[in-house]
Amino acid sequence: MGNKIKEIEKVTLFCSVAEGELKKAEAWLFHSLSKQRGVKSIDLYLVNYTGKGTMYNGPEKVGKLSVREINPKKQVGFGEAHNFAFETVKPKDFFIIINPDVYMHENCISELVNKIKEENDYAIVEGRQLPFEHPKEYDEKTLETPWASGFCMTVRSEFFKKVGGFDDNFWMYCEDVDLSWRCWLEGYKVIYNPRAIAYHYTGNYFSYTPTRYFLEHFWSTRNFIYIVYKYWGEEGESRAKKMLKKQPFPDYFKQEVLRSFDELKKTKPRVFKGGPAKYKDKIKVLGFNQYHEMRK
Amino acid sequence: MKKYEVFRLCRDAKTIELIAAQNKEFGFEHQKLITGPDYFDFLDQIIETCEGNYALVVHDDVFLPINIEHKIDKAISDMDKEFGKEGWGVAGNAGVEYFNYEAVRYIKDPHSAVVPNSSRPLPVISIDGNTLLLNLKTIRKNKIKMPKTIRGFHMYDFLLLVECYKAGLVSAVTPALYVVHNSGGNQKDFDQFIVSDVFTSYWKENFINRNIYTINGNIEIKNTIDYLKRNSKDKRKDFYSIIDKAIDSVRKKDSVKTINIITRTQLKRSNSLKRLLDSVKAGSLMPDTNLKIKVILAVNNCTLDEKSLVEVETRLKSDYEGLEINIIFCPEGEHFPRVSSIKKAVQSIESGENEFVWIVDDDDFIFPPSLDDLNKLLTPGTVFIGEASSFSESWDEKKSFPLRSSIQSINYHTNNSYRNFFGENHVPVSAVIYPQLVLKRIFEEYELKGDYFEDYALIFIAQNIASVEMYPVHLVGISVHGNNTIVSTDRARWDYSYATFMSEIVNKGLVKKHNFEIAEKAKRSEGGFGAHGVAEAELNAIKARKIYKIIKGIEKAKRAPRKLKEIKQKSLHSIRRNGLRGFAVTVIKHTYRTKGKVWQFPNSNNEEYHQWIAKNEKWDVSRAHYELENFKYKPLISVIVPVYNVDPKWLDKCVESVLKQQYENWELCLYDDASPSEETRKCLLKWKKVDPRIKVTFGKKNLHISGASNVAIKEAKGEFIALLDNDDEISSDALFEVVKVLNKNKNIDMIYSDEDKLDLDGKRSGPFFKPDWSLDMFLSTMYTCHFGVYRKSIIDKIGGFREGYEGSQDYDLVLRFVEQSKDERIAHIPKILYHWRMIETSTAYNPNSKLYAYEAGKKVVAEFLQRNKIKAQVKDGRSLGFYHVEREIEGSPLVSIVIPFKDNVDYLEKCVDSILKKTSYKNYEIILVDNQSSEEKTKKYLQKIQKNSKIRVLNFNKPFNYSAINNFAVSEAKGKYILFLNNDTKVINEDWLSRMLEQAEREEVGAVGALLLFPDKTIQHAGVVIQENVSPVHVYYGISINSKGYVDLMDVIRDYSAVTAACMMIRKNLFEKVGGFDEKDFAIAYNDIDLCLKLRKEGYKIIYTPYARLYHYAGKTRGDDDELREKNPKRYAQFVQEKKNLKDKWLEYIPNDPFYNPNLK
Repeated sequence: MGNKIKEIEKVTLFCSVAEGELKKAEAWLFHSLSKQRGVKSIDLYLVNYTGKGTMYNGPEKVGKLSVREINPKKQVGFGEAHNFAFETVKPKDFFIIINPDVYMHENCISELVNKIKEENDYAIVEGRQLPFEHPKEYDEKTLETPWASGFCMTVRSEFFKKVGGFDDNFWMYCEDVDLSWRCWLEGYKVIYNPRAIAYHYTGNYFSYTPTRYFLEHFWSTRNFIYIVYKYWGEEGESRAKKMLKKQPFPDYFKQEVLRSFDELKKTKPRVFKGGPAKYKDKIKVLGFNQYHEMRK
Repeated sequence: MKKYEVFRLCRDAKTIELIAAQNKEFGFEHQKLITGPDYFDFLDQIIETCEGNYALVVHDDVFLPINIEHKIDKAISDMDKEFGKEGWGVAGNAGVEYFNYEAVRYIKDPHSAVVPNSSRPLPVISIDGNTLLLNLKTIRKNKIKMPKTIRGFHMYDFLLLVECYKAGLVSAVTPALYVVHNSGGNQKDFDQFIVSDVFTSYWKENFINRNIYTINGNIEIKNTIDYLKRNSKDKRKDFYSIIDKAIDSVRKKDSVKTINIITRTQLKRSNSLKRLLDSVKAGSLMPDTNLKIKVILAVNNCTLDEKSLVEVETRLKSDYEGLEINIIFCPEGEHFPRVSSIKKAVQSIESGENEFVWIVDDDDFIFPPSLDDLNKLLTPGTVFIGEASSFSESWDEKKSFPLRSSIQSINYHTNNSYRNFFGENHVPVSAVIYPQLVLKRIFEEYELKGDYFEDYALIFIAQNIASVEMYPVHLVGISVHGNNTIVSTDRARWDYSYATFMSEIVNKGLVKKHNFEIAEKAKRSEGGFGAHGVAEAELNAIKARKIYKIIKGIEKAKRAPRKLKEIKQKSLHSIRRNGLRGFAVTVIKHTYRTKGKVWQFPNSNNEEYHQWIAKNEKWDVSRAHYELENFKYKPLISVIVPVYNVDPKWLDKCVESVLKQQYENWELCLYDDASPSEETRKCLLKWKKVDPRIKVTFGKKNLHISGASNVAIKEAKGEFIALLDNDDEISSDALFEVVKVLNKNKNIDMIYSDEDKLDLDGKRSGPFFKPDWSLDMFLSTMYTCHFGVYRKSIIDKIGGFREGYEGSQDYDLVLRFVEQSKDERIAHIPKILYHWRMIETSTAYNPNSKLYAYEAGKKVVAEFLQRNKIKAQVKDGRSLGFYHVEREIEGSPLVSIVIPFKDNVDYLEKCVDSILKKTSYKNYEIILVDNQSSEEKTKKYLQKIQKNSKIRVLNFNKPFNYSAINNFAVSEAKGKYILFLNNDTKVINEDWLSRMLEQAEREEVGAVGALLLFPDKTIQHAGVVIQENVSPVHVYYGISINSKGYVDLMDVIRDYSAVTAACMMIRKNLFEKVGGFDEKDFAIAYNDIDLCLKLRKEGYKIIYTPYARLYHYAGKTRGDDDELREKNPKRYAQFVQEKKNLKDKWLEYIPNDPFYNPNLK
């Protein structure tokens, strides 16, 4: 306790949220943000991803926290919501992406921001989820990690602008992997900061309905094929499809995934041809829907 | 008004009988025992008609506790308490609970071993129907009904729950409804149902989810989820959100409860303590929990100096502003700080029944979302046991976070907590929330010394002095870091603690020796505790299970003798009648005799028939579904229903009966023949939406029945066409039975079944039990009627129905159909698969009103004869609806009438006289075979009669051997045809011989029999039916032909398996070909039966004609069985032997008499 950290003037946060999740966000996220150490002021932008009405009627200021709602006026996916926020707010140096049902450790923001400030080529700094920790692969010395999860990350604005933000073809799941990979390809680094802790009480036991579970399967599966296609072209696509075949999903599910991918392919999304040999330890597919090694 | 009623859904009538007997014994007489194919309907009926505000609905294999009344009361009060009187819909005893999606079973059945230790209702996301308590007040208030589209006996439990949740009513399982259930259901049935169209389409229409968790396994439905944007027109809901919402809304918060979190700490691990406090803070911030959260830090063995302590305290209070944190210090030098710090903390709390204590150590953390439910779940005076997850961690104390933290597979599930009561420390201390008063009392009354077993000591004592609730809420994360330091480094302290606590609890009488023995045994047999332990293993077992045996009691019931076996004789008679819009249907009056008494099945409802239904229409669902699943051939069957102005009330019933089909590959082609009735058309439009298999077409102009049916048939896609009238119903197994037949023989072209009638109240009467296919009978009357299923390729080939035969268009269709098929390709199902509704407005009540239909029928038969080059004319039958095909006799072959005799010339004379006087066919000879007559009178008569050139007398001077006598006579006979005739007969009608000859002349015919009457005009012979064990029985024996309204199926030309040789005609060369009568094995009896069976085996028909009538004074010459036994034991013994010979010879060949309906046995 009582680490001396240089105070940060101002931090911008984007939180993509719908009305149903707002109460919890107010209880946990807002409160924990208001208690952050080492930060003078925090601007939290609530992106109303449903595009409908106004959901937040609470106070604009909670201690050092200011809350504002922005509305893309249509339903948007995860990536698109943040692209919209980025366009609207135009954050100067960095911004933080955070999930609504998170209780941030008091040092989380400063850990995230101070880490990205350390090096100019740190484009993404990822926070750490507890208590259900993701067994991430990262270099304990350099803290480099193949990809960062979008539940809690700091992003360098310059980089985000350069790469055109998230690829909104993903809608949900995997867009963070894609952003991370483009980070590596652009010569930046993706960093994991295990000291930036956010408590995310979701997963096994809480608010995880079978519907959501299903959606996660669907999007992560479709997006697995898409991302492999995006980085390894047709060859990658057929490899991914072969892997899909072996998965224990029902046939109709697989068919739906393939159909959805075919539709996406018709829109001719941008493809990085040839595959990124230079970054093979970062941009890699280790198995079905697996983009890094798991720690035990 | 009754508070509740108990309904038992029984699989069949036999079961009802069995249960009724049991109920009487155990005082359950008030239970309503119901059976039928449709639980959906039952539930709707119960909701609608049950007297009382609650209904308990149980399966037939459920054993209820004898004091179930009290349990129902308790279930109701528990549910009311938990969810509010207005908040719940259904209570049960098994299901998948809401919190963890895990199976809970307050039930003993073949699978479950462990019952969860909760006495409170647990909300569920699916429920098992073995026992359901319906809260009719709320169900009625919310107008809950079962989904209309689904019928049968699967998932009705789940769907009731779904409908309740849709209305915001929670359903739960409660130990108050504990039962012993003798069966675990049929997994195959379930698996099949969940992929059925009706179920999946219901689901898809209502919900977006693909996964449903049920006690029988996870169901995955091919549902469409809009991944990107929900279509605004799509009003479907997320099933689980509906449940969330319902449970949230009924969990009205009680008065504020205070949870005092007691955390024992040395203030050494400040970072992990911070994590705990973070989690507590997050919990306290949860909206609407109605809980007050306080923290008591019980500091012991603290090494910090005073100044640092103050610093820590100040820091904590500022960091966790708004959270009440009290710090207490355990007295220095305290020998057992871990237990005494709790004691001190507990005593520091101001006592109150809403004060609770949650002991959470400083390296654990709480799951804030769990607080959502706690206010409602915590009960004054009751110890609450929740669940915990363990995390394997490594900490670097310099850092404010664990270096590593991964959730372990070891979770403390409430289903395993029972172990605690058997001497095993299984519940982690932080998974328990105690009422402060309970802990206070424990510390007052028990001397707890020792440390490491304190948590176990507390829960052990608590469960003895207070009630304990287990509820599957995940309360805490437990940090497991490093090795188990206590056990390895402080073993002695561990052991001494254990000894001290055990000594205390044994001394206070809380533990008996045998508990430990049980515990030891349990430990040995069960091994370690795995993840979700028993619950998981159980769930896997459920998933893996196959088919289960039906309970023994039911099996026994099935073996019970059928009373109807006692019925000896029956008769059938039918009235040809004209159905609605001209469909001709045969109505059968059915008479049978039992124990000398004549019973009748009148056309109205009657008890006898209902008893028959109850006993014979066995509803062995699992068997049927097992068979269904194993069908290799599942053709599409198009059910054709031409609709015209029918009352929607009847049309609904008609369509519903199709929807209820167990066999699912059908389409229902409803063709509206330009009905003027708006109502009828509206009704059709309604049904069109219900199931994609229902196809509705509206005709623009009225085509009448044949035209309308043809249009509908043209559009049908099925391999088979089934005809159904728009106000009739088919039984739920109708198509199943049809396909079952097709699976036995794929070549079958036409299938028909038995049928009965429905009155306006849906009561059944007037069964028509038909024989198997007999073209001769069919030419006499259109008896196949309903239910008729026809191969479409043949229907197409013959161009469907023809116009101009209205009233008999189906008769015409079948006759043209069978021309394209073969006798062996026409199958009969001896089950009532079709219910014809008697409606006053139809012509059903007055068969005479539509004579034109009858005339059309005559035309139809005549055309058949013409097409098939049969020289015959169609005459009127005995009554409307019956025809008599009279064939032309080719040439005038000589018939030898063989009459063996031994004295008794009075009879002989009458017999011979009647032949000579009456017979119109003139080319015959009479061969009288004298078998050792001795009377003078006989000699005289013979002398006299020999003068007649038509008569020859032969002598057979050997002991009586009927076969030998006749064989001998045949060898002497000159005729091309032989007529065997008993000497005690007398001709009635003049053309008797012609009528027999016209049949005998047919190449396909082997033997021909006649109608023989007793002098009192009751029937002696109208054909012989071979019953079980090859027992030949004379049908209609003893029935008067003059009985009132008597119009009988015995009065038509038809096939039988055998006819009596008392009057039988056969071609001489054929007789010789099959070896004549068997002189060796059938010297005196059954020689005629044996002969007929030999002929049948060679492929010849045995024809019975009622148009040859004779009196037969049977028994007068040889006496009956009893007389024979007394007077001539030797011959009687021979008779018995020959009966055995018959059985031995033909048992394999005749499993079932095709020409007699097995239901008439």
